[in-house]
Amino acid sequence: MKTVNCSTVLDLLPEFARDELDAVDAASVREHLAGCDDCRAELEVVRMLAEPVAVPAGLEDRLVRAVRSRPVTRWGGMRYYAVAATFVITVIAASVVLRRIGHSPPEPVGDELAAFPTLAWPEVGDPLLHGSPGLQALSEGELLKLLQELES
Amino acid sequence: MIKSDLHLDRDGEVDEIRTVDRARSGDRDAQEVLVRRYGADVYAVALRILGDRDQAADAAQDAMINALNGLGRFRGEASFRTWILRIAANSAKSVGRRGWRKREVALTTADNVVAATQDPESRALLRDEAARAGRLLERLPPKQRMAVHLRINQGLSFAEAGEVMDCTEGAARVNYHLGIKRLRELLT
Repeated sequence: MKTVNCSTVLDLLPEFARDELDAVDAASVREHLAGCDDCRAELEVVRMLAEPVAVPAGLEDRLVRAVRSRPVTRWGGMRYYAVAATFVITVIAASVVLRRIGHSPPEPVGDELAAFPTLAWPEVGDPLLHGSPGLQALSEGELLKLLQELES
Repeated sequence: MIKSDLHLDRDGEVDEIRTVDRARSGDRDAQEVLVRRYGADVYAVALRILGDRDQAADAAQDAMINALNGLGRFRGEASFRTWILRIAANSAKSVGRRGWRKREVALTTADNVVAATQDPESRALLRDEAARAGRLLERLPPKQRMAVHLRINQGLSFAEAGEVMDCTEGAARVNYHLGIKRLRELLT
């Protein structure tokens, strides 16, 4: 059995509540919960929310009827391939016509671009994805600020 | 770490790919299998976004038709379930934008909770608590509500939730924890 912290446990609670963790992880989470009031309280909330939403009677049949009676598009799944093929053919045809009338296509700009040094991205560790520091340790204000940064 | 996908084991994934391929080639029976397999999940996502059962049913119908008409765009990079739930979220937003009247409906009311497995007394208690939690969930901002629903009810990972919500894994994670934090405050 391995020791897990609150951050890891809180991330795993939905799977733990659905009994989807393997035996080792489930045991680790269970051991942590035995000594952590805060994580136990959150598990209660997760269990409350895990109650399934009831589907109205007849919805499934309504959906089946709707998809069966929908107008079938003529091209169906091939539509996007057809658009792509048309684009490629147009480009090839334009290239041939330009060559025949004496206009060569513009020179590639690859050499010019190669003259510029490549800028490396700064390496920034993402603590969110590594579970440290734990999100549950942050205040609501700090979480909102973090979210704004992520979404900006 | 996690035993298996919520719905599919390895054999299930193979079956899923075959079913999607058949549906894509126009097999109506395969299409019906997909509708029956994902109809409830698609409806639940729409309901969480719209808060109205009638609108959610309309959005679910739009989503299913859009998904089946657009099967050619499914590349298998994400799971089919994640892909169709994203279509459900977009369809629900589209229905919501039509400006239909939004009714205040508790999503997890006492009469729509599926029976749990505990004894009747515990079940009744859990049902009451679930009803309250469901009503409080409605008070969260849409992104937090969605992240909580996708993680807890749909069983998606943070990365998959991010795909459905059209945001990063980190943003989905923060929205989830913000939502849970807020719900805990509201429940106490």
